[in-house]
Amino acid sequence: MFEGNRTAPQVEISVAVYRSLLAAYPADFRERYSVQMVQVFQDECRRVFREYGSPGLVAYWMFNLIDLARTALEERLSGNSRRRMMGEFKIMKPRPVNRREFLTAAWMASLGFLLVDLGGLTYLFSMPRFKEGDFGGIFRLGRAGDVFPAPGGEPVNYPKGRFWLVRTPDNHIVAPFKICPHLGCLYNWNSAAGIFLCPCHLSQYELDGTLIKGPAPRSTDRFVIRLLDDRGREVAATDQDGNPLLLPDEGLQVLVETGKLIRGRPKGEKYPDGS
Amino acid sequence: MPVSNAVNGSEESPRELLPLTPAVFHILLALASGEKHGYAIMLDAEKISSGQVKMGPGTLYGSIRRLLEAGLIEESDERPDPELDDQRRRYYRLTGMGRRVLVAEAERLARLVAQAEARQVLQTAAG
Repeated sequence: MFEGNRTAPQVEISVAVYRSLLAAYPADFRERYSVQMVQVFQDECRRVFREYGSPGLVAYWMFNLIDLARTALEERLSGNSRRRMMGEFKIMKPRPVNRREFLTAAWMASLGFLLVDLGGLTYLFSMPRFKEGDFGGIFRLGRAGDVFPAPGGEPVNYPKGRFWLVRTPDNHIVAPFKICPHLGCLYNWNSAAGIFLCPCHLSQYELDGTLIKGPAPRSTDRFVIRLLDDRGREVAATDQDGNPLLLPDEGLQVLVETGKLIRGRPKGEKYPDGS
Repeated sequence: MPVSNAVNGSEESPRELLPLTPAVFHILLALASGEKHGYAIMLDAEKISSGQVKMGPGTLYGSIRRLLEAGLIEESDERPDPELDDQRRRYYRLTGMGRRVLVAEAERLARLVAQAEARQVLQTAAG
């Protein structure tokens, strides 16, 4: 139970929202118990968050909204009539709900769900959009010498990131997006001809992605490659034109950023380091 | 009993309050081992039932309200729980009547279980 005094922002927000939802209970009940209820809610939120993180908190909210709607209704129905109280120990069988009570409960429940939805969305929105290792995020591939083929060698397919890993004969590296800029087919490496060839309409590309001929409007699109040293400092990265990047050292760590797609050069233009 | 909780004007007997709702029974059971504050009651109820009885604050304090009004529990004092943080918490404990009701309910359940065993619904540990 240590660390009890440090409260995560998610828990703090939850407690604030819960406090406002207590308006669903009748005033006399709130007066007597709201402080204690908020305490209990906060204690449980902290425990759940510590043990299960945000999913635990969401689950606790779902459970609590139902509990809140049900008990708030019960408290409103039992009102101040102490007469009926003893009956409540036996099987809970509330009398039929009248129109006004039903509308109040429905209104409170929908308000509660809306608040939780907003809270959840805000939370998700504040998270990074793509995780590392998912397409759209960053891929950490390892040492350049292990990841890329030998200079001028056959390109390596990296399906998870939807790119090829290419090294030109003069030791420049490229990570072309696997989709043909013409109509979105997946082009393949044709080892006999030593070119990339799109099976749909026969667009042809050189090893570094430069368009040779075919209906495609431009060379292949490519992702930004970042090269880091052992201490995590960036040594080199693909420039904004997507030119092939000189690989200075086989031992550098390779990162491919699939969130940054650079369009290929228009038909007829060459890359400066084209093989 | 100081609290006037008569049903139909008769002096209450523990039996009249049975059967208890699960939440109420677990709260009384949690308090049988000594006074506790709300969150400790909730955790204990969850432990007693191996996680089957989960109470939100609403169920917890709704039940506590009814138990207070029926004179089965009473408020003790307000003080911080050294295990949690320095917030002050209100503690509750069983009254004599509360303990009698708890015993009566436990006996009722024991008789039920005995019936279930007698009819071989329930395999006892030995069998």
